[in-house]
Amino acid sequence: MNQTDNIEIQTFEYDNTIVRNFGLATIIFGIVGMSVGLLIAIQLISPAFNFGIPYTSFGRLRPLHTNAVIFAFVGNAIFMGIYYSLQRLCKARMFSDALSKVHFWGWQLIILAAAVSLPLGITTSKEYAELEWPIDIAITLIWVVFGINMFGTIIKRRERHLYVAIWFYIATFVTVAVLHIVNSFEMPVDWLKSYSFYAGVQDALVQWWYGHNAVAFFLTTPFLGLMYYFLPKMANRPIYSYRLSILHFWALIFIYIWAGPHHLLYSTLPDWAQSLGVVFSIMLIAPSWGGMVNGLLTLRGAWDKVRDDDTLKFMVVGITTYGMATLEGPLLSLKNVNAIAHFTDWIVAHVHVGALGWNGFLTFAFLYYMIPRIYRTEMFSKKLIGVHFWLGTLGILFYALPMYFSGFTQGLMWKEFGEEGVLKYPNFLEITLQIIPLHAFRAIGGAFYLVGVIIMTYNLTKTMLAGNFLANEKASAPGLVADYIPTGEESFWHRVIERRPFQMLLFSLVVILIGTAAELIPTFLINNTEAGIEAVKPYTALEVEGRDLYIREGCVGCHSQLVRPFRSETERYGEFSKMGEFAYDHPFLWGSKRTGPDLHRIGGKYPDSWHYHHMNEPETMSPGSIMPSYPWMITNSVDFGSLKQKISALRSVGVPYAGGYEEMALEDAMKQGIVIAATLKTEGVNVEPDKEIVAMIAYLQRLGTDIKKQNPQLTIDN
Amino acid sequence: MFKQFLQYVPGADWFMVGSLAVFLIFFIAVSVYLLTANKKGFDEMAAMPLKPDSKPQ
Repeated sequence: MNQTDNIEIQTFEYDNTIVRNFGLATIIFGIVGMSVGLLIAIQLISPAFNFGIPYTSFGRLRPLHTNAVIFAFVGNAIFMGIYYSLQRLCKARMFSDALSKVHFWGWQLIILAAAVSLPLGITTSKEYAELEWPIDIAITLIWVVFGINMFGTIIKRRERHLYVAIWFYIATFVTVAVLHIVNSFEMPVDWLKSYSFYAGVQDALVQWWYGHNAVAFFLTTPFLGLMYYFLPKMANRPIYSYRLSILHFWALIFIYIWAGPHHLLYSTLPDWAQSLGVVFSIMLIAPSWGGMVNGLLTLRGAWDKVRDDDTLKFMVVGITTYGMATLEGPLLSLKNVNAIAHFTDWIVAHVHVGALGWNGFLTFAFLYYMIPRIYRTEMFSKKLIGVHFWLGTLGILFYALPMYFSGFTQGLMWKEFGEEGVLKYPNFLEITLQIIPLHAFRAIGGAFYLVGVIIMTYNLTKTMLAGNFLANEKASAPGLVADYIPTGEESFWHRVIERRPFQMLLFSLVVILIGTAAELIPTFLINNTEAGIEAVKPYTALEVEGRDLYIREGCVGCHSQLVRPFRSETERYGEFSKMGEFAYDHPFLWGSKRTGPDLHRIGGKYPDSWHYHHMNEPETMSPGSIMPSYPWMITNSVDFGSLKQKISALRSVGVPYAGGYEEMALEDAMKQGIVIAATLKTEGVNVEPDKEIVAMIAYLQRLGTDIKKQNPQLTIDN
Repeated sequence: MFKQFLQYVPGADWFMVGSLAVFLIFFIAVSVYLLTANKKGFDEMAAMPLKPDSKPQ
């Protein structure tokens, strides 16, 4: 007799309210995040569109855009999809309605905190992890609430086996938790400021281990899980190969975690780590394409449905862009390609093909699928879904193609030498000016995409108004046998973990920790100062304040601080960067994009007054520049209120300040400020020594100069 | 090719080879399971999303 015989049919209700709430948040934050993206795209054509306000300057809004679209738009979409599909795959209501509410409102409050703190310049500067430590703790707590609610639901399920989508949800939960916690180790200065626990190359490796795997485990694995649920539902046919889904699940989570170092090629990261990142990035093509092929082949024999159903069209284009982005990513990790592409708009194009196509289009498809069902009605207008689809597709094309051209242009012009053997375009600005028309096309593409989302919002709103929301959806399923004893194949090890969520969690954790440990531990055994650069000393008190202003204004969003060992870079910027030079950089500020030139060797290159005028009105020093003005730095005084705590915090993370330096830090800062103000006066500029611009000049003039003290014959004068 | 890989790729020593070996063993173990397991079980699993979500309201 089958062990499921004679089990009574149980009735229960799905919670659709939490699905609707996350759905509404997805739509609202989608519009907000993309609008901010469009605004900063326009600022890259004309910086005047920051309206002269500090809170809307590019450096502060860029992290707001990335956080809004990743954690608010995509994050809410993930929770919406998981809460919908998990209940139905488990044949159970969510574990706790209260936890669902805490999760929803907690996540929205975190988003609100980000929306307030980032424009205020409260940031750690680490990409996609910019939020300060109190918000980091809130994220951890809310993530745990989500985990308890998810695992509670899985435990009380009425299906024996966990469908592969749930494996992806479990891997997402555990890996994001590990990534977030490890990357967020930081030493608080006060409630609004902290310094990364790690320094220099180690900070860079942890950050890009996190950053790359945030893409993997926040933007990819949950969406693969959702694809495995929603695509069969939409196409009304099972996934093409369940075997392939299992193979690509394990291969994907194993390999992905190793690939982070490909963000740091030609940096001061040890060669072995760079090579490891490249090799595993190339291997990543196989499991990534396993997912794409499995998705597209699910539609075999059903392409007629795709022709008639615009929701499926979103899925097809979304899965195809996933395939394109996951082929391009590994190719970009090849060192010879990376040498040209890194720091250019090519990377921006790559990221947006994935984000707009894979995450955006799949999210739209999920919304078009779920909203009419939980509102017990049909979509208000199928024609408008089609209009949205074509606007979105054109938007991606108009966005990505100009960015590719822009990236190729930048990468090649930066490297081009003339017949005389010198750089053909020594003036960085000349190259930037070439790509402004391409930035304009990109903004048009972004506007197309945003208009499509607004049309979707109108269509969904009309649908919701016309329907009757079903908050609690009745369902029934047989209960599970309590004393189930697996026999035969059911007792095989993999079948066992398919039934046991905690074993699945543990196994996934072990799989991702293998790569994590293999890369992070050896790098942490390196002594940051072993490069033997004895002349590298901690920043002075005023330079610390200047560095914090650099972080506040988001300068790292447009300027790298990493001269790679290419002749084209050493000719342009000076001596290539050494590991030991970053020993006291908490956090590292290497950046990932050069909208403006690298600044690692900017120290001593220009007089103080040049920096003063350039920060106040960039076009006076660099005609045509698209860098925003920072007039408030001329009038604002430095807030030295937490200088003591800053020095103490930096010492506690390993910066060797002399004992008692915090007591004399303010005096030291003022002394250095007076010297800079005096120098500025001789150059015709009158400024108080306690102004922010003075601290910024102190920091910029220090950058990359220590190595000259070590090796005086080095000249950094180009 | 493997010899050249070890010779010319910076850092391609026992550490990288060991990392690849760990993955290979893991990959083979999962593949063996997938090739030897019963197809019926996979078909049942694949059909899970297609079960009706709810009772008629």
